[in-house]
Amino acid sequence: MINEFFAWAILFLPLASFSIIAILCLAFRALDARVSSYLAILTIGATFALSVAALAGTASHGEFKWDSHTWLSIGDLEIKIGILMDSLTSIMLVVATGVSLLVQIYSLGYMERHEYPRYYAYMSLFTASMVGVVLAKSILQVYFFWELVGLSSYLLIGFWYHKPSAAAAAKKAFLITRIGDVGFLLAILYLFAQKQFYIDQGLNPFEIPDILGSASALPVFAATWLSLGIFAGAVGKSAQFPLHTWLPDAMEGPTPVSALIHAATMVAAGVFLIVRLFGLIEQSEMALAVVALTGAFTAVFAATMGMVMNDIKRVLAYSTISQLGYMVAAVGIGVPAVAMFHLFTHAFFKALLFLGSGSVNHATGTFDMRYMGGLRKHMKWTYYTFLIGSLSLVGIFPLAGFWSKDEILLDAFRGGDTIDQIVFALTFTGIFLTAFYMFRCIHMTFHGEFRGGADAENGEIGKSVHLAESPLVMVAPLVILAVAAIGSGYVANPLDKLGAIPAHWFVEFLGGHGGKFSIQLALASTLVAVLGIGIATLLHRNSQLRKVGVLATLKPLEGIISRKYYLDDFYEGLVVSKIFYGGVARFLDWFDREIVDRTVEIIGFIGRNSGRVFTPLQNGQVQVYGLVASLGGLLIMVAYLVFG
Amino acid sequence: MTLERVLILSAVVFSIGLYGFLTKRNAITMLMAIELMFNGVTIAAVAMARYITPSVLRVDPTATSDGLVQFVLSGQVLSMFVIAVAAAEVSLGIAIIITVYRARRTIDVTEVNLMRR
Repeated sequence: MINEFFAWAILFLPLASFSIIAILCLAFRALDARVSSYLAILTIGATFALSVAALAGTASHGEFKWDSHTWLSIGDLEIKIGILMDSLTSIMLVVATGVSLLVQIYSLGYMERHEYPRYYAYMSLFTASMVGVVLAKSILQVYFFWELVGLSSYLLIGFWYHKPSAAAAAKKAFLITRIGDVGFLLAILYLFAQKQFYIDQGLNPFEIPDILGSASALPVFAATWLSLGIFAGAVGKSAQFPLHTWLPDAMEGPTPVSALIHAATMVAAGVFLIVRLFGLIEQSEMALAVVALTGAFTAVFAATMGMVMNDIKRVLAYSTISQLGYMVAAVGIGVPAVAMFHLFTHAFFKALLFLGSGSVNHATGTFDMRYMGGLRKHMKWTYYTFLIGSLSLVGIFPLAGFWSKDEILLDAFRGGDTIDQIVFALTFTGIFLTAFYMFRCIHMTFHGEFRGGADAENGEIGKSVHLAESPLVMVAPLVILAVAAIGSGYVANPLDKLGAIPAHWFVEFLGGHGGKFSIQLALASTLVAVLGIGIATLLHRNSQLRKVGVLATLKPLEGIISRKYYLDDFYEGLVVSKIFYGGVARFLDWFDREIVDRTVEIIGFIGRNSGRVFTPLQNGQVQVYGLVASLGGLLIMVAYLVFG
Repeated sequence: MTLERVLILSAVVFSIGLYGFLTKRNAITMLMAIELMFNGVTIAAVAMARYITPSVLRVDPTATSDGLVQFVLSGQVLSMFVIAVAAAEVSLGIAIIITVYRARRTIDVTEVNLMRR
């Protein structure tokens, strides 16, 4: 059973782990670095156990709310902190802490030992801040931890800060997500401006249950702007178009970090936020349409970029953006429970894929797929788990990804209005693209002949790369995640009663309605997926095919896509250097030089030159002083005589 | 002898002193000029004291109560003070001038301007 003490412990255990590692292990370098890893893994294990207990509690007893503690009082407004433990919270907790636990175990093998204390400290902070977002009852509390998530992802992406590219990527991730956060902040300020509306009803504008409870009474105009502001925050964090550019660059961080960011923490926070506040967003048709179209567009847009990347982690990054697009689109068409279902299954297979790519990197020393190939023979465990993850991602029956993606397609298909149809068309196209890029990736990485790995990349064939399976601490999490990637879909949300689990348990637990399974749609999507796999395989087997027919005409397109549709160039070349540096910054620079500095200079000029005028008077000649004093006296006398 | 004449004398003496003080470069001459100014002031003080004394008292200083006696003599008392202070000041001034002379080999006030630098 879960009580308030244990609920807070879920937040404070990883936070304590962070503090202890930061204070003890970083201060006392003589301490064995492994201490920090054991500490972090133990606490995250305990957190995971508590999260499972919380899930059991909410599954059997419904939602828990613990009385908020007042943090601040501003006039008649109280800002409170508290815990909201409902089905959504508990599921998200299990996903976040579970993936985090596996990733941290895996990191024992992946990271170098001297990096442990700093790495595990950041990991604990990252987990703690994500848990904070999930548990929060007040929207200000969400915002607080939301920014902490941003900070810790900055620290982890820039973990190898001595690499300029890593430092730049960390900065980019931080700044671009910050653009979205401005929207979120504006939404919070807007809530503050509307506080009278809530206070009149005896509610608190910052408490999430109060916001959702009174959302239908809110004017549509207000609901729209609030929703769009909150969605802007989610767009930044969940890397949706047009703020998606930071996520592929975030690959500069250690691979386990990418796994955590992509599966359960950073990007999941955005989707979690809009699911959490869905009650508000659904009040506005316009906001829903924006959410749905952004998600569906991103799903296809990112997938096309995934098709041409040569860096295995970048392929996976675009895949994540695309899958997040599915989740956001699902929220937009009004089925947040299904979005959470996809987030749930996606967390397992995407963490699996990233950890698999890390395992590949461990063996080859590179992430560039052009220098891989033929790894199937050397890394059986990695290969098969990676294959399972890919199939699950592509949505092959009966793996987890199939069930969650199928639910999204079903709901879009049955929705009926124009938005739903657009979403269906785009997400359906996305399946083909997903299948293509994932199998292109598998072929390049695991099939064919080995092309030298890091040695080939550095031009020194056969020097340091020894292909071998990764150690057990890395393989074991892969296997566990592979099992989850197979089973988590059907077991959590079965079509029919499965043992103790009722039909459509997951979706209905989150307050959605389980859709009726459609065999035609399932067949169609599987067919499209198989088609994508087939084309990828054909192109891999026979590279001559690329030069003939339709594919030759697509060649120029590939150039555009591999430059990421020139979006990065647009942002950096035009928005940042022309508009920002050339416009705003230049104006401010001019203002500072010409207005601010000039004012100061004029004051200084007056001081200096008035001194020049009066200095001669102070010449130290007592007779001059006397003369002046006498003349002054004389003047007074004359004045007295004349005017007195 | 009217008051005006005495005051004019006083003003002339004071002005000669002031002129000397402002124009002479020699510190000792300046000290002498200051003495002249003191004397001008002293003359004025005595003359004014005499002028404001009631005529009864000019004839017989004991004709009225004690308080007035002091009042009558205030100008003279002030003069005595000025003379005493002037003496002290001169001795001090000359001591300074001698010291300056020893240090700088000059008592030209325009050249003694070390503090200004």
